[in-house]
Amino acid sequence: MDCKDVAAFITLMHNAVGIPFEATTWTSSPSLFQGFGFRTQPICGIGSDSTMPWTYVQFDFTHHAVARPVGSNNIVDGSAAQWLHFQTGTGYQNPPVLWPLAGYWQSPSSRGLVELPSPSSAVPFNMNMSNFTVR
Amino acid sequence: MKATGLFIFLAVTGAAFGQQPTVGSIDLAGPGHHRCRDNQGGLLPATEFIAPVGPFLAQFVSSAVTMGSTINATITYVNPGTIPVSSTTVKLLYDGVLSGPVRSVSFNPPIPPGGTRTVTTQLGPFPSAIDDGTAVVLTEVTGIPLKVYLTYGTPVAQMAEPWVGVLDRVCRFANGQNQRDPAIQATTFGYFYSQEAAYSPLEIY
Repeated sequence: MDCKDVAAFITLMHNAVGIPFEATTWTSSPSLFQGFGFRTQPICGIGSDSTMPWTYVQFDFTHHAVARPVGSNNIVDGSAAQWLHFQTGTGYQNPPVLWPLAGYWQSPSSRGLVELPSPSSAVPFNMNMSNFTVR
Repeated sequence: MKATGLFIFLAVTGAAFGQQPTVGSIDLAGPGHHRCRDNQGGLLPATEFIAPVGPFLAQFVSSAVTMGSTINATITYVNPGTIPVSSTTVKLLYDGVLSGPVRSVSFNPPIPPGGTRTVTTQLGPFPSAIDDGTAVVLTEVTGIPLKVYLTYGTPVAQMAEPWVGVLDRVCRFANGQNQRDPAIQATTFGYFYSQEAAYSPLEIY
């Protein structure tokens, strides 16, 4: 099970109770890690104990799938917990829920999903959405 | 088990009410009622048969109902007695609690002995929170158990006829929520901590 599976099921659950959701995939532009995507901050995958620091590991992603309410720029990422809250930098240890896209991808002080570029990097940083239809 | 016990209790005590109609079937409809699909994608019926009717065996339905809404129940009454029946009552219990007023049902002309009559009555409103529960439609002598999933709004997109396996989970995770954003958080956290899924990415996504 990966982020697409989780984003799809999160979408299905919300649509089933009348909260319109959609799933989308995102990738970095330009590629931020060895030419094929981006390296994540340490994250804890679904199914692991998100209160234990050793469950947080880094991945090299070509892209990442998340869910969001239709018409919203705030995302839900049920596939992985983050140790720190993207805004406050304090302990979070939960999956992001309704986080603004900009803060979700990367925030100051090494918070957010993406490790690179660092906040001081001159490399232009953007995330492009691609289609991901849940059938 | 809770609904079954109530059903038996009412069946036994129903004799104390005198001449009353029994129920042959109940059909649920209305803007707040949503038919469901089983876990193979098959559309579940909206009609519940209490006893074998024609070619059908008794069948029980699962329904999604928008929280706080009132639905239409088209009930076929049967008069098993020896004198005409001119009225009865029907009410809704949700998880054992009366939900909405007791509805009076009049039969004009009265149902003759051995006859049947189909009448549409409103039931509810249902409670105003997401839930995974059991409703019982109570007439004077019959308790009709219904599996009900209370939803935040009208199911949409590929879940316009929601699958019960999906409803089983989301209505448990978001149980008791009646605001959108808290419901989203409860659903996401509920699934993340459910131990139903294990992350195994191929290190590409």
